[in-house]
Amino acid sequence: MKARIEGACVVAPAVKKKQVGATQSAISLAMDSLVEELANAKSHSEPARLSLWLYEPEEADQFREVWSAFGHSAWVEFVPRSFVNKMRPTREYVEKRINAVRPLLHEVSTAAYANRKTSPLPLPLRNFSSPITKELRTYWYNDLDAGKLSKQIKSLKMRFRQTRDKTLGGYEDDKALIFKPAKDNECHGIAHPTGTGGKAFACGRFRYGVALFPGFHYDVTAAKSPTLKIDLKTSAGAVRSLKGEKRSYINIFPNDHLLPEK
Amino acid sequence: MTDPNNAEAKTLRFIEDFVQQHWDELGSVCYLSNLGFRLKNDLPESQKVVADGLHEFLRRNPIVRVVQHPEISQKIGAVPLSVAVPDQIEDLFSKKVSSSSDKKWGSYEQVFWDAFIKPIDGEVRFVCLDDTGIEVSDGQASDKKEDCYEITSQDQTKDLAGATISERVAATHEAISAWLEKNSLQQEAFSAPKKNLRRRGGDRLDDFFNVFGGLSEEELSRIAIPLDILFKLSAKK
Repeated sequence: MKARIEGACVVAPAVKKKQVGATQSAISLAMDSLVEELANAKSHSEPARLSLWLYEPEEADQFREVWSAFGHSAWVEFVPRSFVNKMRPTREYVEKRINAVRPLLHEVSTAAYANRKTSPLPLPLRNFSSPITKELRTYWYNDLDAGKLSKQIKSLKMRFRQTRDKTLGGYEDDKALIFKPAKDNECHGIAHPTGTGGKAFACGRFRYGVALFPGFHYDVTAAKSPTLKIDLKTSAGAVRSLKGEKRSYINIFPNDHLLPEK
Repeated sequence: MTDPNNAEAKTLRFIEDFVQQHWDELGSVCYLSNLGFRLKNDLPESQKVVADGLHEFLRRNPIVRVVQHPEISQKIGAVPLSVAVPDQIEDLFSKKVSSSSDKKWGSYEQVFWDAFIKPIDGEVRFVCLDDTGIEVSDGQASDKKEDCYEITSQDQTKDLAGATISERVAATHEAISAWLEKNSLQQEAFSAPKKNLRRRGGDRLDDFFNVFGGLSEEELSRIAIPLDILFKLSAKK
């Protein structure tokens, strides 16, 4: 553990005792601190990891809040509730558990980073309409060990492959949009689109706790018409109608950032 | 056509509420089999949402905590997230010892029970205790005798329009308890005698001997029954 964190900068914003846990203020503080650090760091490399550790929530809404903020960017882990306000047992639990989490993150990284062109993991979750992304919006890796996680990712990849359109060279979603993964030499321009909010910022850098390939995006075209005539969602969740824009394609990043912007 | 997102949201809400309600009432896990059955019946549109199985759905959507019996792996249930899971997980699978819904109500004499339900014909109703039992009569407040207690219309079960039978029964028990407390009386004084659901061996033997009741002593002296047969008859249901 010591060797792994040598030279690391630990950011540990403190919250009041009553705000410990999955509280609204703790979530906001965590997001703000993360965005601030990511903005200062400018860029990061493939081994970068982002995990979020929270005490087991006492209400489903607390989990929803956390998942809504961090679920698509960070790897989320629960710490037993009995450790609330107990620093040493919490630290010991995280130190022990992180050893089991690391191989899981490695597995996810292989899919989201190395195999980004064939895996659905870096897909823009709002705009690729499919049961696959619907599943990926949930806590799909919860309670899975390395073997089961590998199997789960394999299953997702198999399902994703079935959506491949060989003629158009991309993956077709349920709204007849073709998502063609960008080639490495096309991943220029905005390496990590920030979006308008903290959530979009984090989702532009990480996916399920692993780094995204800088600049990776999808060239999106319509399967059945020369121009795009649909409504897309922006990284902030707003609707952008392309009907009047007469675009033949648009770039969509994993965090749903749309380029060119309107 | 059902909006799938709406169906999913509804399913999540239903599960959360049902598990919470189950916990509040019984203090034990809500078996996934039971939850699945209720989902199928009460929220048919949920079937598409949980097509991969309820357990799998809850793994991906941890809105309740899923627990498995440590010894009987088939026993899988859910408890609200607010419940602290004890070290002995099997404890969650047994009903809690005392909960509001598990309240042990007494069983009263029918005449006494009815006294709290039937309308009073007069000013007050008297409940009198004597050696023979309970006597209930209506009359004027001035007619009160010794060892008699008054029931007024305020003491009776409140009119529960639209209430279920179990709610009415509970309300009558509440009314009786309040009345007993007001008069410093014990519940046992008005309890119905417990019925012997199973007769004892001695009773059966008595019945057997009664068959020979009409015989003379001389005739009885001619009957010889082996002891093991008597035991067998005694033990026979």
